[in-house]
Amino acid sequence: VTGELARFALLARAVAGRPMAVVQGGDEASYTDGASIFLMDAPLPLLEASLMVQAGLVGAGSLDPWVMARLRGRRDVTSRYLAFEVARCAEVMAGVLPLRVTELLAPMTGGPVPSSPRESLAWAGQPRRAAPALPAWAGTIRPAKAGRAGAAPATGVPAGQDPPDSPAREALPEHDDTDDTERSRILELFASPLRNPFSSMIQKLFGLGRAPGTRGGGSGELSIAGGRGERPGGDATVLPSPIRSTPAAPGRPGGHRYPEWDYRRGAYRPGWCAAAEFDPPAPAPEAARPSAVDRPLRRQLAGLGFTDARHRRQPEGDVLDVPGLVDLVARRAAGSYDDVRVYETRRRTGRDLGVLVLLDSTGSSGDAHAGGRVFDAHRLVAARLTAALDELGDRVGAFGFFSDGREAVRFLRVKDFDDRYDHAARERMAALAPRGFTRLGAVIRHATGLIERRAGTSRRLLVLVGDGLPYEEGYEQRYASEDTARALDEAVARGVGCIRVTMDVGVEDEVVRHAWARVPHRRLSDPGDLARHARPLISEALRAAQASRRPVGSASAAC
Amino acid sequence: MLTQPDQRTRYVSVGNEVAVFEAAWRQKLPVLLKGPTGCGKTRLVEFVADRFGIGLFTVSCHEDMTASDLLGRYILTGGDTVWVDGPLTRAVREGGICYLDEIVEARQDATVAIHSLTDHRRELNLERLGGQRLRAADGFQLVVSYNPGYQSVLKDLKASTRQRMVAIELDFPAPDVELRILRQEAEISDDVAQALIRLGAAIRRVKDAGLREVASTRTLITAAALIRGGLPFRDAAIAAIAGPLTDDLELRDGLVTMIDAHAPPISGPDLSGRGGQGRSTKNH
Repeated sequence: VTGELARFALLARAVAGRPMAVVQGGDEASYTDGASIFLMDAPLPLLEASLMVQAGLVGAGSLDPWVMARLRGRRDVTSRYLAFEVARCAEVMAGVLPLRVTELLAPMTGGPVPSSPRESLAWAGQPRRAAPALPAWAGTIRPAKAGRAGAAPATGVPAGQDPPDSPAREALPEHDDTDDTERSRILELFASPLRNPFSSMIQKLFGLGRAPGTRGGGSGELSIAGGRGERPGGDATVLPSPIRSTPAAPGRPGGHRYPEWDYRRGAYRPGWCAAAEFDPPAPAPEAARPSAVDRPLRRQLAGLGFTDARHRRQPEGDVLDVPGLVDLVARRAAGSYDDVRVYETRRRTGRDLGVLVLLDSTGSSGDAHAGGRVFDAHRLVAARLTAALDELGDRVGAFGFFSDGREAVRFLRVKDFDDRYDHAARERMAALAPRGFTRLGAVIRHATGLIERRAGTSRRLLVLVGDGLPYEEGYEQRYASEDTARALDEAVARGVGCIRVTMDVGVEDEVVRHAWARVPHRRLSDPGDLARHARPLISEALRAAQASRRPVGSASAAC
Repeated sequence: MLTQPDQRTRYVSVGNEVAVFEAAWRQKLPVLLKGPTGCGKTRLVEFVADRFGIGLFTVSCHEDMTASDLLGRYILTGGDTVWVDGPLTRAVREGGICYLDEIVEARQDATVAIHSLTDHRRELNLERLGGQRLRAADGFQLVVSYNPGYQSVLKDLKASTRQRMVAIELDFPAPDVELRILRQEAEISDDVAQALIRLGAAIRRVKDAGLREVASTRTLITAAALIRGGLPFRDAAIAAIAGPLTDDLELRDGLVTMIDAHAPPISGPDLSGRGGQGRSTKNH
């Protein structure tokens, strides 16, 4: 049945204004948590109407976390609130709701309609005000669940575009996600709408509030200290403070939000991670500057990425070049017979290849290997690849990356697509040092976006140089490998070929194998081996990307 | 390439675009039309050319277009070569509108030819014709169109070209205007037109789900015309909207589901193509 309902996702998205999953659920009544709509069983026209109402609630902002927090445990007020909101939603969303749904909702829209969720809440609290009669198919609101996904921004929205008072980030008391009706009426008195120290105390006393030591929604800021690798920020003095989209610190330009795939739920967590680009600090004077010349590699890469270009006035070719022909006739009339270049031909001489080289600059790459750090070997590979492609005139960008929790996935610019691989870029390459963690899914999604926005070529390639092990607190094992594999699939589906090269340092982790199973990768015993492997590896990735290239725009299109 | 002025070219004004266009024509200023595919750019140009009774020379720009394709070239006739004017040269000589559709698709070396035409000189240099200089006739106007956000970053309009133009920004019309357009173009019932417009508005909200384009006014008109031609709502909308927008099967399923949901309420003959309760869940 889930497969059958999946085709309603686009319809729901059109009304909700953001990606929605449509699944079966809601035994008694349909409801939504802001990311998925759980539909109860019903005959088709009512199922559709139910879906439209729930999507409309999301689209009209009815799941406002501020309001949800005040509805918890108040079943009567909630159902009155829902009735007012459905009426408001029928009006606000009229332009995109199907006509038949508007007709079904017509009996509810006769009276006065509130202008905002907060007004609906106020009206719902006035017992004398008559609420519209709500049909059963409209479903219900579950404040505890709806507050969760709240009004998180949709995929890929730059962090800087968050509304200034982005409600998802307000500190809300996190309640147990149990049935609303079980809540004590006494506690309810203290729950809302006013918060004061006294009510907070009572809440804590009775266990209604946030338990000490838990993180809001299991998803709060992740500790960055005490993990492996160096303490991040120790030498990164020029790096800005962690990116966080709060009213006090508006998002920075260049920051983007990305979803993350949760295989356990079979759904994306929308807007889960934030990624942004920075410049690395100046390198220490004694830092190694890798020599980036690799002639065999350049020879191999020279044969890649060509596209047809038109060549005129050729001595031979498929079609006549009219201007050349006319000139010939003119010259003949003048008595000259030497030049007969009158053909036009297409030859594969135009370069059409955009490559983003990503260097794993996370803590794990600092491990020692063969007398140096694995990281240094990886950096050498990345530098050679970048230099060779830049010399060949391809569009190439190079970035290091690491993460400090899901809100701070960081790209360190070595060379953007428009930069040359010059002294300054080499210095930035030398400045990279291993630190932090590896939230690989968001890294790949951000990289895919960068290539799409800035490469400007039709052949696109993402090269990850590193061990490819996704790891961060709360981003481990199967969860991490599933998300990484998903992000790679998304990239390939969007026409970005992906490959990974890494130094061979023994047996690969099962997590790595699973994450990279569907993408070409090679393990090198020496950085010089790259020349031998580059061409087949890249060709394979580009072929896969060209073959699957289709307009699957955002990650969540398929859910 | 010369479009005969059609006395009945219809255009419903969305904002002040007709007034701006006409003022620019009177003041001999070139115009830059911006807007998504199918929002009525070409129709606006036709309408204005028709209104002033001047010729319209339309050139659809593409990558392989050369300056000669605009200016003209020598061709062979018998043993001799003869110069033939290109559309731009003809418009300059005859005093018509030369409309370069999707100008960013053309290579920049092809479009530099227009520079001297877009400033106070209003002159065209024909280097291949012995450096001849043509002064533009009175009614001449250069109009270019451009679809922002459609091209890759490498294909953008040069700032020096942009600055010479009067910009008119078009977008899809508001629902009530779009309703008038649909009714005017295809004479369908209010219900059906409403349903099409809501469907279009809904599809415009899911553009980032991976559609190449969204449902433009043009596709809505096409669907309306098919309905007028006797097709049920569902079939017409699939043929005119879902089919052209995507090749991806999943997305197509999603679009068909949207079309089903938006089919107008059944009154009298079944217009929706969804016979009663047992709707087929098979997808093509």
